[in-house]
Parts: sequence; C-alpha cells; structure tokens
Amino acid sequence: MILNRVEVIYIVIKWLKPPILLLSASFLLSVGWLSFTRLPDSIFAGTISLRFVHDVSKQVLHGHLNGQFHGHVNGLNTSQLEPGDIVLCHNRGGGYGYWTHAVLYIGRGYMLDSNDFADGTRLFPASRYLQYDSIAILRAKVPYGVRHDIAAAALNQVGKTYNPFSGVTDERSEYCSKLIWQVYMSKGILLCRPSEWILPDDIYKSPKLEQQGRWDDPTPTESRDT
Amino acid sequence: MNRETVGSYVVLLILCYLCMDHVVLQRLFTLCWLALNLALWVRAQSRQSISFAYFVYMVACSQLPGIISAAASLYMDLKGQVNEWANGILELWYYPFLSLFELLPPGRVGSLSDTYIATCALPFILILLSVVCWRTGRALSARFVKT
Repeated sequence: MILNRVEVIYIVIKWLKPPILLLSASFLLSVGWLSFTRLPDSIFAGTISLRFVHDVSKQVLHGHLNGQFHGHVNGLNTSQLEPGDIVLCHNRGGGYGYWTHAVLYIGRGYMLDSNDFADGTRLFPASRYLQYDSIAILRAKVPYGVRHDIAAAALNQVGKTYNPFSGVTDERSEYCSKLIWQVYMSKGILLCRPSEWILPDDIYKSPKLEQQGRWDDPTPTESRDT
Repeated sequence: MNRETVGSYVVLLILCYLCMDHVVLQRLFTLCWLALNLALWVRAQSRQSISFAYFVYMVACSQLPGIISAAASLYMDLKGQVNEWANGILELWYYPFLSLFELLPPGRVGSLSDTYIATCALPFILILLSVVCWRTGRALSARFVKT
C-alpha cells in the first residue's frame, strides 16, 4: 500500500511526539525552576514546603548540596571535648549557610548525629568529622553536670528517623540541628527561636553558647554568612 | 488502574508536602490513599478482561519509581559509596509514608535505620497487599455468587 503524504506526516508526528513532548516539558520545567529560584525569599515566609523547595533549588543552583569533601583534615581533638558540646561542621559541598552540619558530643569519642535517611539518628566516632573543611566547638554556658545530663538524655534519640522535612515540634524524627535544639530544649535551654527549620547557623549565633575552639577552611573559595 | 494509582499518589505527594508541619493530616491523607487503592485492587478482580498475572504486572509497574530508587539506594549503600542523593530521592518519593513509619519504635536493623528498611520494602509490601486484595475479592465474589 502506498501511503499518501498526510499519512506519512501523521506517522512521523506520532513517533516523534513522545521525545518532543519530553523535551518541551524539560525546557518548560527548567525555565520555570530558574525563574522560581530568582523569586525573593520573602514570598515564601510562612509556607514551609514552598520555602524548602526554593531554598534547596537555590543551593543546588550554586553547586551546593553535592556532599563532596575536599580531602582536608581539620584540627578536631576529642580530648578538648566534653559531653554536651556542640560541634558545628562546614563543608564547601554542603548547603544552608556557612555551617552545614551539627553534631552533639556524647562522650567516649562518639558524636550523636542525624544526617542520612539510611542511617537515621545514630552514634559515630568523632574521627568521622575530621574530613570537614571547618569545625567549631560550642559549649553551653551551664554547669558541667547539666551538660552531662543533656548528653545522657540525648542517647534516647538514637534510632529515630532522619527527616529534614519534620517540624520542630515533631519528636518522632530528627535532622542534625533540630536534634541538638530539641535535646537542649528538653532541659529548658532555648538555644534559638524555633522556626520552620533550625539551621546550624542559628545554633552558632546562640547567646547561650560560647566558642571553645575553631579550625577554619584553609582555602575558602567563596564568602558565606559565618 | 495504573493511571488511577499513580495519579492519586502524585496528588497525595503534593498534599503531604503542602502539609509539611502537620503530621496528623499527612497520616490521614496517606491512610485515605491506601483505602482508595485497596478498593481499586478489590474492584480490579471483578473485571473479567484482566488476568491475575496482568494485574500483578500493572501493580508492579506502578511501583517502579519506588523499586528503582530503593534498589539504587541499597546498591550504593552496599558498595559503601556516598549516596545521600539516592537516599534523599527515596525519602522524597515515599515521604507520605514517613508519617506512618515514624510510629514504629526507634530502632536499627544492622547498620541501617528500621524506617529506611521499611521504606525500601514498601513497594513490595504494596504489591503483596494488592495480591491479597485480589484474592480476597475473588473469594468474596465466589461466595456471593454461590449464595
């Protein structure tokens, strides 16, 4: 059977339709995403989910959140740590401000961490955090006994789900900085004002903490809010 | 049926992300989605044009995004590679169910979180659930016809 021109065009369009649709959708999504990231932050105030998508989009656009470490070894020394100390970590491949991670020193060389969905909230040896580009040790301005109790109480968080989308009042799941905030809050110490997300930078600025030590990134490549 | 399952799950995802700080609402939406799909699976067995094998195949296809992301995440974890993005995509896709899995007692299975294990097993649990619904629906239909 000899096909006429209309039938040939119809067959070609039918076969090309899926890739054309896919390319068009990808293009529109990319344009939409870029436009979305250029919107001001104030638009999303009060909307947790949209603000989160906006923040993550901007982080990815700037090359953050790639999880890569750069091979430096910082000066973290567990002999300087006491139970209850907060260790803030900076990784150039991280996101959400200068301090990209926060862990709590429990004692005996172990940190309480909530960083990954597969691991959940668990203990890691302190040596794991030597790979971060910068480190700061913060200590609460309370007696040693109180800090020791906080560290002991924090052990009850082991095993909880890692969920970066969990609200600050949700006690069934954690993320790094929220974990620390909740543990201190359970002992009546408000490190920072509760907001949609508790960020490591918020903890760094807490007037309830004093810095005990800091090792900075030897080759900073960009200025971030410190 | 696949279109209904996947379409309704996308709606569930959007609703749960919009209710990010309202865990009770998330649980409610997720349970409603489960109930809807249980009904769809029971209804599917009444359609003579669908065989059991084809039904299982369709349900498995609808779970492909979850199966692929769980497989990728587990594979990279076994290889010991940094796989935060693989775990993140798995968590993003099954976010509605986290509000239910959080009710599990905190625990670990080996070096992995029990919530993570439950999430990886979820697509297969849903396939198994659909098979149970199919069989139950068939048994009830046969009983109803006999009486």
